[in-house]
Amino acid sequence: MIASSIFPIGLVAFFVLYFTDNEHIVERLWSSEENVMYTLLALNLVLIGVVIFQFIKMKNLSVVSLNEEQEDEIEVKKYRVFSDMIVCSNVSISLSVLAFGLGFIWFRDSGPWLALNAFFLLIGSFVVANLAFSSGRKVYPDRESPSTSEDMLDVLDDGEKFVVLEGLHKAYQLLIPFLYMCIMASVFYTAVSGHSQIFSIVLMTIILIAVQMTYGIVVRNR
Amino acid sequence: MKSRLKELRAREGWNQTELAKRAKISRQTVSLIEREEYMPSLLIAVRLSRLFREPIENIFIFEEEEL
Repeated sequence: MIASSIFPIGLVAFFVLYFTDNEHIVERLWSSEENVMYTLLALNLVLIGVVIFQFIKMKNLSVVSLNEEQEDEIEVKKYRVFSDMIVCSNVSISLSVLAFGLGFIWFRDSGPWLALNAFFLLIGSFVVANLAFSSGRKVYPDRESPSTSEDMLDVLDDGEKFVVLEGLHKAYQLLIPFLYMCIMASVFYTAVSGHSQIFSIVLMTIILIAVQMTYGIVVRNR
Repeated sequence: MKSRLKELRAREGWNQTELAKRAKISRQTVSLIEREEYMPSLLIAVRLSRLFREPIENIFIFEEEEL
C-alpha cells in the first residue's frame, strides 16, 4: 500500500521537477552523492535496529505466562511481529545492496570506506534476516524449518497457503505494472538526459519476460 | 457460506490455539474460517466435524444459491 502510493507520486514529482526546472534537477539531486549514501546507510541502520528490537520483543512475548483468553492474543502478536521482522530485514537487505552498489560506483577511488560501511551493513542485514527467520520457531514451535521453497509450501496448511497465494497475487499484480513504468521512465530519462539506460532497460525487460513466462508455464503444466 | 465455528468452539470452551492443535491446523486457518474469509478443504471440514461431533452441514451453512 505504502510502496504503491510512493512510487507513482515520486515518478510524477520527478517529471514535474524535470519540466519546471531548466537547470537539470536530476544532476543537482545526484550531485551530493555523499548525502545519498549517508541517507541509505542511516535508513539501513534504523531497519536493522527495528529488527533487533522486534527480536527482543518476540523473546519477551514467548516467556509471558498467560491464561486461555490471552493465548490467542499473544499468538496473533507473535505472528505480526514475525511478519514485520521478515519485511524489515528484506527491505534492509535490498537497501544495503543498493548502498553497496552506489558506494562502489561513486566512492571506490575517492572514499572506499563508505562502500566498505555499506558492505558491513549488508552483512549486518543478512545476520538480522537470519535472526528474523530463526524467530519462526517461536511462532511455529512444532514445525521443522523448511530448507527449500517447495518444502515451505509443504509445511503450510490450506489456510496458510490461501494467505500466501493472496500475498503473491498482490505482489505479482504490483510487479508487472511497476516494471513497465520503470522501463518507460528509463527510456524517457535516456532520451532527455543523454545518459544511456539501455542496459537497465534490457535487464528489466528480461525480468518481466522471465516472471510472466514462469507464471504461465507453471499454470499451463498443471 | 456461514460458519458456526466460533459458536461451537465457545461451546467446547476452547480458544483458537487449542482448536488448531486438536484439528492439526494453524491458528491462522481457524481465524480465517471463523471470519468466513476462507472455505476449508474437505479434510479440514471432516476433522472439525469429528471434533465437534456435528455433521459438516451444521458447521458450514450454505445459502441455496451457493449450491
